[in-house]
Amino acid sequence: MSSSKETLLFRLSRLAVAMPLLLALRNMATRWVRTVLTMLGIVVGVAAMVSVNVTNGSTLNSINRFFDEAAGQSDLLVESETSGGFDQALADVVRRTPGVVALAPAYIGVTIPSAEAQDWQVQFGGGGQIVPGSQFWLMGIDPEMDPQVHEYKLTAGELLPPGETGYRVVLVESYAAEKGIEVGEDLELLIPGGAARLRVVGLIAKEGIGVANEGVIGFAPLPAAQELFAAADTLSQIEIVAETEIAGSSDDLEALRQTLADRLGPEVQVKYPASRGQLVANSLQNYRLGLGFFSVVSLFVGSFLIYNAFAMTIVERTREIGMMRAIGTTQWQIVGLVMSEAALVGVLGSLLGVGAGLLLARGLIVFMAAFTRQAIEIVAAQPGDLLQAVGVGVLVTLAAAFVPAFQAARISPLQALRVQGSVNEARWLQVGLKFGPLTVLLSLLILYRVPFRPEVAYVVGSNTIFLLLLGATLCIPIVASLLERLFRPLIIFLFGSEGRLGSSNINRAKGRTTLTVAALMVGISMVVGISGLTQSFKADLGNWVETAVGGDLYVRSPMTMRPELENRLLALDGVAAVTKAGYVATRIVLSDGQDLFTLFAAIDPETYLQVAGIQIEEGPPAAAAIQQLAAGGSLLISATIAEQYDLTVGDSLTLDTRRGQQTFRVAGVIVDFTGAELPVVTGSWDDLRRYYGVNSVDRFTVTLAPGTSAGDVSERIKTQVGRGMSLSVESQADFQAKVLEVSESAFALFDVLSLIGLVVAGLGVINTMLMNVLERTRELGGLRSLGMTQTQVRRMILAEAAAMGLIGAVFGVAFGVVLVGVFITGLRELGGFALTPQTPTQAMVVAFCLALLLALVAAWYPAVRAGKVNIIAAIKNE
Amino acid sequence: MPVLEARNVSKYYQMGAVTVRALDDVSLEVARGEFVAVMGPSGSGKSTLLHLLGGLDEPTSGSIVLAGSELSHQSDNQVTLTRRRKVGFIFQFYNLLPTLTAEENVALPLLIDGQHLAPHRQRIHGLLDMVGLADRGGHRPDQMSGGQQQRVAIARAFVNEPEIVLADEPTGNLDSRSGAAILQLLRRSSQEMQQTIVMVTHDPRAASYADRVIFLKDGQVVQSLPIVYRSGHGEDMARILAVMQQLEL
Ligand SMILES: Nc1ncnc2c1ncn2[C@@H]1O[C@H](COP(=O)(O)OP(=O)(O)OP(=O)(O)O)[C@@H](O)[C@H]1O
Ligand SMILES: [Mg+2]
Repeated sequence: MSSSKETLLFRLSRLAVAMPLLLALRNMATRWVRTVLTMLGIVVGVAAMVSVNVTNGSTLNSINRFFDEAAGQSDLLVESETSGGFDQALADVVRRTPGVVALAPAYIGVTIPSAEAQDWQVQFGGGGQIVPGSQFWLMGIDPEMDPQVHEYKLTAGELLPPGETGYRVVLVESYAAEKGIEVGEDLELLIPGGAARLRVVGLIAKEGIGVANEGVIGFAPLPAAQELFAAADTLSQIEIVAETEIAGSSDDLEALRQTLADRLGPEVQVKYPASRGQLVANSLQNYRLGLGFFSVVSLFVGSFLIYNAFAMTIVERTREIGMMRAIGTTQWQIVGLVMSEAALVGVLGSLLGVGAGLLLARGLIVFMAAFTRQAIEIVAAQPGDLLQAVGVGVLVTLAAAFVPAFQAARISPLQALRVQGSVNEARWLQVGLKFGPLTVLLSLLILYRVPFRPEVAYVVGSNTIFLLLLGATLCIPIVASLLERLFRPLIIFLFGSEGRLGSSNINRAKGRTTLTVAALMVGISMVVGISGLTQSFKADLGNWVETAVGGDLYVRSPMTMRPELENRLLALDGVAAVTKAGYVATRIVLSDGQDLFTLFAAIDPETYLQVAGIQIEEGPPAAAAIQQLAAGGSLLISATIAEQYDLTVGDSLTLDTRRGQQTFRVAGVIVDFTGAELPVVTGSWDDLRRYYGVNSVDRFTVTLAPGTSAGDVSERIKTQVGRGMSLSVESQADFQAKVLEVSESAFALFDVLSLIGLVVAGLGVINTMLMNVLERTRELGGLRSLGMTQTQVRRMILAEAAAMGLIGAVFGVAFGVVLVGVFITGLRELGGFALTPQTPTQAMVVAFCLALLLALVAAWYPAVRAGKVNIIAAIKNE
Repeated sequence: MPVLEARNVSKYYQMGAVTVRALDDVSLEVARGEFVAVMGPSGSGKSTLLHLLGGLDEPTSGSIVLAGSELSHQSDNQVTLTRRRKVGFIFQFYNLLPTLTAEENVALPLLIDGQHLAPHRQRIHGLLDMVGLADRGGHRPDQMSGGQQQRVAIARAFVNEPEIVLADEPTGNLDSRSGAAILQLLRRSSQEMQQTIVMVTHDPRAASYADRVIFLKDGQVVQSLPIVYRSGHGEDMARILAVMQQLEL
């Protein structure tokens, strides 16, 4: 009665409901190592969920914020239907439309400063989109009207005065600083046919309109910009501010948008400004889907670990619980006890998990930013989301503890009275035999044979994976002893005679072995599954770069290139063949009236096959398919689009073109990564001209004559053809390296996720091995008293861990291979991303060794503890 | 009506092809306030009988009356509640919660019953004092000797003032002096508090504290020996030893 602890228990006993909580608390405090391990399982699961949530939120938010800020106060945006621009006279139509308060007509010329022409290269993000800020935007504005729409924060000099029409420019402070340009100096830009100088009159902060194009932007008088880019009376866009009442009501704004669209005619589109953000957001969709999927899996894995931990403490406490039952604890009270402990651990673990998740999110956001090459600001997570994460964590913990709680309640009082706290091991085998193979079969059937509607496929898919995991776990007791006998010689070879003792221990406690192996299986399969997915993606990407992109050199320019350049390139020494390609943004009109942003990639059917190839998935051979393109009105579509919209050869596809909606025939389905996650359709050069009025080349692909060096020819292209045109020449190897580098950084994120899987598996092994040692304290003490040294005991425990590691490796690798298939099928069904599955042989070997290593590392502490078992205490403890 | 009764109770264990008859048609009545000792060789079914009487296990055939009511038609919950409020158990192997102190372990049945501990504090202390552990209330089981742990378990068995106390070799781990104290405690509780006591023991000296000694062999009751308890009990011990000899125990 002396210490304060007991007084607390005594004092709180008044609250009858507090009994299970008090006992649970005491138990958690005394067995704190176990408690911490259990809690870590929850922490890992919740942290993964929170971090993925925050990362997604931050990414979307910064994309939206970026467009919101750049769009200023504008409510609507008028843009050309094609990339060409539209007549300036439309600005007057907008001005006269009732409801419009202010408008900012602008012409945007895309170029680069002359100084950078030498080694300029276009940069692509992992999504295939051009990285913002790699080209300079010269934005021609009306100095009087523009500030009504956009926010300019002047930091030096002055803004363009109203009525200014000269070659004056306002730059963003950060860009000017980077380039070393000051107010009063000139900025020299490349323009069609040469270069031009503009006097810098002022600098603005990288805020408001200053964030557009990452600040790589200058503001000049509209007539000056139009003149420089030979685009007289042409506008790229008009941003519109509507009356406050209209802007405040989505219905009214939609009505105004309709009115404007009707008045302005089919040449332009009237949109909501944020829809530009949609484009980038779309390209991140698959990526986010992948992350979301892994957060669900990691939660499942976490719940499995929690189940594992609770099942284990129940086994450990069999005698204790039996004794409680004998002195009058009802079955429900036992359930209450276990569940109280689960609730406590769940709440604590989830709270810690939220903290860890927020930290982890910072790391993930760095990856995400590298992937999209956009600055991403970390948003404070929504309190609602965090609360939800805690809720899910607690619920999962309670659910995971449910089965063990009932197992505990079924412990008979007699089990306390037996000297050996024996568990019914045969049950594991029985249940396993009965349900294991069946569950595996059933879930494989569901995954591969049953078609689900896309809306439910995600939920069904992730649940089925869990089911499969469960089935595989149930199979463990059946196969484990078989595998043990198989691996025993190896273990004996590695660990000597203690190896024999350790290895055969596996057969003693089937339940514990099963849970350890299951934990390993989950972690290892995650490694194998993710490697397989990554490898499949890289292999496809590599193939595509080699065959479909083809060629040896790529010629691009920040300015438009004329088709005639082809002949001049062909005339160069060492050039064997040249083909041209052009891209234009357009829309696929779907049957339900919705439309989908897409890239129309035009190739030249005459020369294309001399330089590159096509990977046909479905349809006629490459030559015939190209022939059909040449005839006009036909398209090749990517497998991704075909999957997603259920299109096949011979179907028709409608595109929005400058000449209205136009129906094309699908001539073939091809492997295509041109737009990465943006949908791409491939058509002929003539169709590009006919339907989009575009006659400028975005890229020439050059094949070298045998025996010529890429470096020499690049040099020749730059000096002989490219003079004054600032051409960029890139070799295929460089391009491939760049593409792979970008995808590499994207996949680094997935590596982090497999690391989480390994951590979870390691925790599982520590938990079970520790359990193992605690449960056998008496036996270990006995062995020590018979003369076994500490080292021998340690070696015995490690041998047991090694045996489990090997069995876990077999299960993990097998399950991992299944996961690869599931991931790839899932990507195709959900994201419409078609990949050829690869068997990750190397990853399988690595994972196998990793399992062994992980088991040994995780068993180290338990093994040391086993060696230090106090002989006296062990024997005294009954 | 007897407080405790076994009617034609048998308990068989099927071990593959062999049937182990742990108890074979045993009948026994114990009256209120009676102190019965159960003796017999190892494996004769003493613990099994005690477990069946306490409702910890169900007989293969026959019926059990515990605290005046028949067990066979009661739910697990009902039997558990009976055990909690009317029975005190002392196991052959001491069973304490390793996470609780001695004092808390003694209080455990009350805690499980959702009772407020403060009013019982006096009694909890008294019990610990009675088993000679007044100064060990704050110690955990792993800080105590085997005999001390056993004595905590004995104190626990009495904390809910049970009608019936079932003890499986309560003095097996104790020296003769503390053993004698425990036996005195059992004797007094049956005589003064009218508590009914069934105690399994191998020790004729312990058995001589009882009102009656039952001898088991191969799962059957082979002899029932009434004893008139006196303070100098050498004579009783001699009678018990004589029976043991006669039965080749
Ligand atoms: N769960 C069981 N399964 C099989 N046989 C059992 C089981 N429990 C007890 N037995 C057998 O029943 C018989 C009686 O056992 P019991 O524990 O009642 O003996 P005991 O008289 O208490 O012995 P001891 O003095 O050694 O404690 C023994 O032969 C024992 O092997
Ligand atoms: Mg016994």
